[in-house]
Amino acid sequence: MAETQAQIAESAHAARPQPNYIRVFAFLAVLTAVEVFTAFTIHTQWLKVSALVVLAITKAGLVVAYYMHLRFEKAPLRIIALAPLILVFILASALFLERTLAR
Amino acid sequence: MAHASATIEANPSTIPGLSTRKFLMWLFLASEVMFFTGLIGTYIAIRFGGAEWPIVSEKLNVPLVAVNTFILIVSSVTMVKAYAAIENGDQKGLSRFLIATMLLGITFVSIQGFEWLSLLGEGTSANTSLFGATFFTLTGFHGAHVSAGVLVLVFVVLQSLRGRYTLENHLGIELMGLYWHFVDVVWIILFTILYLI
Repeated sequence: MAETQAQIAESAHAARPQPNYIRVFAFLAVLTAVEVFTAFTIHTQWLKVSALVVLAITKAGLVVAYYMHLRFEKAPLRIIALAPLILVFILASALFLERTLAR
Repeated sequence: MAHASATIEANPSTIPGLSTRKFLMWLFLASEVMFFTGLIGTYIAIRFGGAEWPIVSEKLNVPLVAVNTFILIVSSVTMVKAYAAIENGDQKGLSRFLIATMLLGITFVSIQGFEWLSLLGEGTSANTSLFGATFFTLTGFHGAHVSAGVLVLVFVVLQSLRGRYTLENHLGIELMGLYWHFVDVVWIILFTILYLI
């Protein structure tokens, strides 16, 4: 028998763990401070950009995984949620290649 | 409206074990990812395509915006704490954290408004340069998303004060949280690209 929305909500409520949101916040705050510090202290452009991109992706990943609870969702939803990242990767690669080849 | 909501609640899910409304929210957010990717891609193509660009740290008030970024991150914490509160059946906690989230959202938009006015006062607008055009477009669309979120939050706060959300029925809070955190994620990327690189 098909599940109704109420049954789904009830089962999701019973199964979902609650991560330590304050600890995640502490990580986000520290990473933000590191970002600003990096931006003003590292002067090698490629190193600065690489470090900032990694830091930003880490922060975004923490929010999506723990605050949006994607880490605790079922596999089909995780696939749907992460699918656009493939298109983002294609666009980013195209821009990078276009810029590299244009030189 | 009530009939439509009741119909959705009674319908079986699209994916087994997954609420249809939550599935639709994630689909909406997926489309939003592509929307902002298009804008950010355009920004990168213009900025690194040889356009004349100011020294960002001199043109923009990075310390102020770093504080604003921190405010938006704190608003994500209060939003998720609101969700945690109603997951434990704490309706008063839900309302308190929702109100805090709403106020933090208003603060974020206000500081962004102050930043815009400062730039406009210095003669930088969307019409004066490619930098201005891309900066105001990106921050404008993001600010519009935060503002829309604040407006919906006002409605959600009023509903929470009326006891609309309970331990058994709080999907609306989860959906509100998904949108709010998504807006936070977009800003995390924008802050890095617009202000730090």
